[in-house]
Amino acid sequence: MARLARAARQATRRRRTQARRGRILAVKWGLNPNSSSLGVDVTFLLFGATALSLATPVIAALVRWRAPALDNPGDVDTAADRAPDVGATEPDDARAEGGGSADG
Amino acid sequence: MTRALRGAALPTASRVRLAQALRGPRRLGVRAAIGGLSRWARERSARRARIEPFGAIIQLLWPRALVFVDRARARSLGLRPPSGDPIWRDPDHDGVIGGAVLSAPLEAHLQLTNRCDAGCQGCYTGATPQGSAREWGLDQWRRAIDELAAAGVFHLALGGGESALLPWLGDIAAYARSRGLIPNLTTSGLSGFERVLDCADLFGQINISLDGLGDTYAAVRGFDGFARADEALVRLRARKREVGINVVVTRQNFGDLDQLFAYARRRRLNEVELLRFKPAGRGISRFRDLTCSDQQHRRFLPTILAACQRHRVRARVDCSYTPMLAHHRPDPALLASLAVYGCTGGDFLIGVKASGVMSACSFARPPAERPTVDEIGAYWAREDAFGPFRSWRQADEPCLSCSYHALCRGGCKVVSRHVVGDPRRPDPECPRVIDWQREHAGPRPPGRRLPIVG
Repeated sequence: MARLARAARQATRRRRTQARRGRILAVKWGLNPNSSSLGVDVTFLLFGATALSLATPVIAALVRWRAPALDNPGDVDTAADRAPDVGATEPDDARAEGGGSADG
Repeated sequence: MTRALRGAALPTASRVRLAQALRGPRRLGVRAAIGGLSRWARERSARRARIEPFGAIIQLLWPRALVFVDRARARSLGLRPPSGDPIWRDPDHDGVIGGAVLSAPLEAHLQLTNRCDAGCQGCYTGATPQGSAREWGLDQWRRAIDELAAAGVFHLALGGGESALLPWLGDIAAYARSRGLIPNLTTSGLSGFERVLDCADLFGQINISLDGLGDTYAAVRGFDGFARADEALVRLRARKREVGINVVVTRQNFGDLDQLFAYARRRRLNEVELLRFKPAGRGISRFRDLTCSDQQHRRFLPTILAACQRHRVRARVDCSYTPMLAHHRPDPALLASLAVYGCTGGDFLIGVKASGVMSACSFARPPAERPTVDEIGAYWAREDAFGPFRSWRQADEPCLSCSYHALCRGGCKVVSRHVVGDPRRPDPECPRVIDWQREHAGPRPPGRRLPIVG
């Protein structure tokens, strides 16, 4: 019983962390030189969601490594607002919560 | 060692620190090396970002990618809209790509000229050696790039006609770079190719159109240019790593796709981009003969994935192929996370004609108002901008109840307009649409039965 309660607490904590840190929804790989349509890399379809779930935390770390410059600059968050967990792997249940998108 | 570091391609500060660390205790040297590596990675990581209704889009330079994040992730990175900007007002759009039109296109496809002397039989722009009337010059394209940069566009895809014929091709690429946009190029590798070689380093990716090997090239394009295109690829690859081929997939070359991937591997190209044949320009009259058969469309995904795996070359597919991918029922979440979307004209991308007039995509006719790209800021925000391209949610069956509709968006509107006369109708070449129509077709009129031949 105590183990179940602990697991439930951990799941709740994971969900809260997830909600605060947010999600990576999609990654469009590469550059499209074709001047007639939006080319997307489908090579990942060979390896499925597993390969993508391995790549996404790396992308998340790279994104966080240097705060990107905003094209239309808005308010800047304080350091306290920023999540401290750089590039950490997201919980497994994140995809189910997020309506079918990759997590970072 | 210090002298050797002076010649290394490192920033001065890094060189000094690295030299100091190497003179000091070994632990300091390791720390300096890690610091240098981290600076190297930072210089190549996140570069620009843009607020969107679902959150934000962040551009990575290495690996080359656009990363779509929700609002919470954007906030955690210090990104949020300016005070008073209502872009994040609707909570339903949080984390939902496609819930609303993007704040600007991801990429703009600039047809710099409609001049080309190749005369391909299926040319989607109907390019001629004379080009179009009222083609824009360098100054006008520079102003267009200013507007696109101000809107937050990330990438440019430059094409034609044959843009290698333009003496200012390098100037426009350099200008795009100076405004923070990454220019990419498609060329035939035929006329004016020396000019492409001269400015190759300015482009993110250059692809050469190659619709077949040997005789197949001539069968698809209507003239034999394979040897010249092949030579151009060899020379370009010697100059640059980010080189690939664009293949317009037709009934004639579908059987050669595996060989095209093998060729790309042999030439050490980094990608093969596969494009569906569209009924536009001279392609209208050749559409019936050149478009792939239904059976070929159904075999498309397994064929290219097998070729990818066998020859270890990356494959990119054009947005109009999304119905052919959905036919194999891949996980919609996986497609979404790869940003595989169907018709994203007037949303993720825009086309710009040689006269500067915008269209939803390069194959589409311009809107009735004929807005030019230097008016993108005002036109983009209009509710009725790009007409049927943004009204994909109002779909007919079978798209309406299709689980892939939010991704596929009804397939290629240019094909729908040509084949069924209405761009809002479901893509008539989508295997799911064809199956649905077969199932829902009324009883066939009685006809003569053919004898069964043993």
